[in-house]
Amino acid sequence: MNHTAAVAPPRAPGARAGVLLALAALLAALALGAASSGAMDIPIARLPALLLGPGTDEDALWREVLLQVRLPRVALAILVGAGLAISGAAMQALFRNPLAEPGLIGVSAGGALGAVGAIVLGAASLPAVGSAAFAGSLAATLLAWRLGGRGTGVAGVLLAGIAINALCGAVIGVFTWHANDAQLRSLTFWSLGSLAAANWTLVAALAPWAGLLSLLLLRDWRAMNALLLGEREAQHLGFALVALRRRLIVNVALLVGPLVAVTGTIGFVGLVVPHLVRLTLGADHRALLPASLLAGAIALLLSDWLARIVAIPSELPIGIVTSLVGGPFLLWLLARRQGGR
Amino acid sequence: MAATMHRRHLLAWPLLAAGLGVRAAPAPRRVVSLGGVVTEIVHALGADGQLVGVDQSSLYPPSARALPQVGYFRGFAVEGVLSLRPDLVLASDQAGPPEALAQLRAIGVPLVLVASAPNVKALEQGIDTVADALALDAEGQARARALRQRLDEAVRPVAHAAPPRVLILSSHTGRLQAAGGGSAPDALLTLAGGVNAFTQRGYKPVSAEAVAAARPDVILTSTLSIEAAGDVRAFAAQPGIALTPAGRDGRIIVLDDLLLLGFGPRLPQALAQVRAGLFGAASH
Amino acid sequence: MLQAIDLDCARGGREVLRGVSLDVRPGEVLGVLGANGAGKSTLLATLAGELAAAGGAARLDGRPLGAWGAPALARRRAVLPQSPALAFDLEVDEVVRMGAYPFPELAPAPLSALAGQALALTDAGHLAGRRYGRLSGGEQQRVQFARVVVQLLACRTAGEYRALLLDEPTASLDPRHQIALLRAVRDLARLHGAAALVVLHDVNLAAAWCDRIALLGDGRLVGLDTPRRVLTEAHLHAVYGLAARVLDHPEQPGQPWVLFRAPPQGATD
Repeated sequence: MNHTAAVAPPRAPGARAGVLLALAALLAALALGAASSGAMDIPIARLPALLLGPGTDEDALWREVLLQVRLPRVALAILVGAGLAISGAAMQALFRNPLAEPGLIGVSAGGALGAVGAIVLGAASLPAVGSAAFAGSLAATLLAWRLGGRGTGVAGVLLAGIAINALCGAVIGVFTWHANDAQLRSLTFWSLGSLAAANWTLVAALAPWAGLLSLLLLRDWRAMNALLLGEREAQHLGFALVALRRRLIVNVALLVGPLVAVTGTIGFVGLVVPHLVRLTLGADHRALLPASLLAGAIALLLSDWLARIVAIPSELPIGIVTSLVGGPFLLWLLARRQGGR
Repeated sequence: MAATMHRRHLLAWPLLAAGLGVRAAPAPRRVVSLGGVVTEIVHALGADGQLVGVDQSSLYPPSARALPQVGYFRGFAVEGVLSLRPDLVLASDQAGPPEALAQLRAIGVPLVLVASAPNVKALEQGIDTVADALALDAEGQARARALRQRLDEAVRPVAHAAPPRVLILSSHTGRLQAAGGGSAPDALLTLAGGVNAFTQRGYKPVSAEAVAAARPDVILTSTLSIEAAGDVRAFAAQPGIALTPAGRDGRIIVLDDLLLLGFGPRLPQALAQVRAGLFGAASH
Repeated sequence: MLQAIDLDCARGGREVLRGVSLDVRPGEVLGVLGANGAGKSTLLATLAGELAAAGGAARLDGRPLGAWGAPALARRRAVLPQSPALAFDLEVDEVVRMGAYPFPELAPAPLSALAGQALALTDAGHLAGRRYGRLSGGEQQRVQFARVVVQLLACRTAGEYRALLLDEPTASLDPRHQIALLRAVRDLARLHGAAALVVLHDVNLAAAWCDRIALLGDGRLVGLDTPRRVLTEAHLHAVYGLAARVLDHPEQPGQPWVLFRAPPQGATD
């Protein structure tokens, strides 16, 4: 059978844009919902009035809470969720494995080690602990690259990353053993993750950085698709392998490092979100990457929302929520697909 | 920034609400306490009626557990605190994260930090700070004075010819931990007139062998550890402990966990119990 | 033009071939034959630019392959691997379109037309719209071949030299699809001026479809010429260690037909 009819694109650009638009709209709606919900009961209807005029003293308090406490947190959740998810998608392409996530190259463990070290050596403020965490994540990634990145195949980086994760874990153990009671508590909370430190200065510093690095990852969608064919084939299609690997790893480290430094370790988002997106939208990175950005933002926004309202007036560490919600959801989705075949 | 403009509004708010003139700041009616020891001090000063919220570590008095809880004091929820509409937040100086405290200040909530180091001076300072912040009436101030007096009497050093060697142990999950210099139980022990046989600082895992080698005359532990072992006899029979003079002679002092690990206004009570165990009749 | 000039090939530090000189000419299908381990795939990998030449030169348009850079090289030569893989499932159309990645300037409409053309050429038109992961091995290979065709023909100016390298493409295909694939390769050479190099293990297939054959043995090029001149009994014995008879193909005039003789039991050659 011979037909030379032109092949329609797998998903018309219109359909792809439609999905992304729908996700963006969902994100906006959820952001609005999250901003109007929390320990303090601020009715949505009052939001516009609050943001505009002075109003009563009660309004003043609500406005302060909204502007100083909730909105920066919502913004941070969006930033961090998006950054973690797109990094996870890039790692899954690089390692050609749906179990890959940013932590594989040592970013999270290095960040944790930096933070733990800083805490145990006496630092308490976010800038000090954060910079130590960032430095740690970069150092760990650099080490993983040096040790494993030059050879053929990406397995070298994977193994080096595993070794470095183990090493960081061991040194963290030593610091933990040495820590006093107060430091131990700080360590624990850091490792459970939290968005509580959100303020506008932080968001203003992170947003352009994270935005730029995400943009760079978005641009590499063709390279990531080509990687799916295998490293040899990606090379044949014109992607210089060693340079590509380095570029992706550096990009992810620079994107995830500061995020981990600010929020502590938030697991699951970098692994599950791109995986879920791939299960529903397919593996073409042209759609997968932007969709992961949006879906990651949605996921973390929802998680933080849940963390804030489930135990009012207390709140859960966000790492617990992402794991508790993400795990079963993924299982359910997989079971559906298996059944649907 | 908008925050400073409204700070005046918010500070004026409790004044207006209390209906008083501008002359004297009224006693705060809605107090949030962050820190177990802080809550105990508020209780000791008879002011728990003014508490509207506490943190996760505020387990004494039992009535405190019924109050709304805003998270652990080292990582509390800012919005949670605000939703309780406090007119005073008493926070241990270890409360955090620093950004959360900054947010509270920026919104204009009166925030007072209370010293929390495990030593007598810090405790006295803490009691004074809380008493001032609560703007106590005459009865309250009398209670504060009585508390200080009890403390002063209790911590008066008593010389002993041969201070006993003591190990402060906990064993919940089968693993032994000892408390050394810098920890609250160690401060308690030193005040009581004992000598800590454990030479490292802080809480550290310790092997059965090390426990035996330390040859403590007395072991100080908490009720949770006894319950984990079953009873005092079972506790004393554990490997390592069984080989010590303390284990053989059954000289085990058991204190309530909060009493042992906190360094707060119930210090006189704790000291009495420890001294009884060290120098009074041996407890079985 | 893709050339090997006194080329030494090595893999993993071990030298495999010495002093190979050949041209991959436009409009022509060059077959590469040899026993297992003779270095066929190594030669292809070196000519593809994957492996560095251990000695001598591998050049495209007179420049050493190492000097080209991956993106530029991808615009002039396409490679069909032996065992195509795909880590995550994609639709067939998405896989075929990847052939245009070296040509980001290609607009969507001409790309769709080219993809359709490639699928038709590789007899995979009916697979369009299906998921790659659900296809059989042979079908998957045809889809990958279509991708390679897209890469070969995209944005090609008239008369531009494009090389097509295929590594044992017929290894897992049934006879019908073996013939279809090699016919498609010949069409690409004749009709589109591609310069094709095909590594084959079946001597008679090579004799039927290749204009010239490079026969590898003993670490060097044993013969490089038309099938009739290269596939001699002496050469075949030297390369495969088997006695062979070369006959005239009963249906194709001028084409040799090789019959290998099994050695008598117990005899060593």
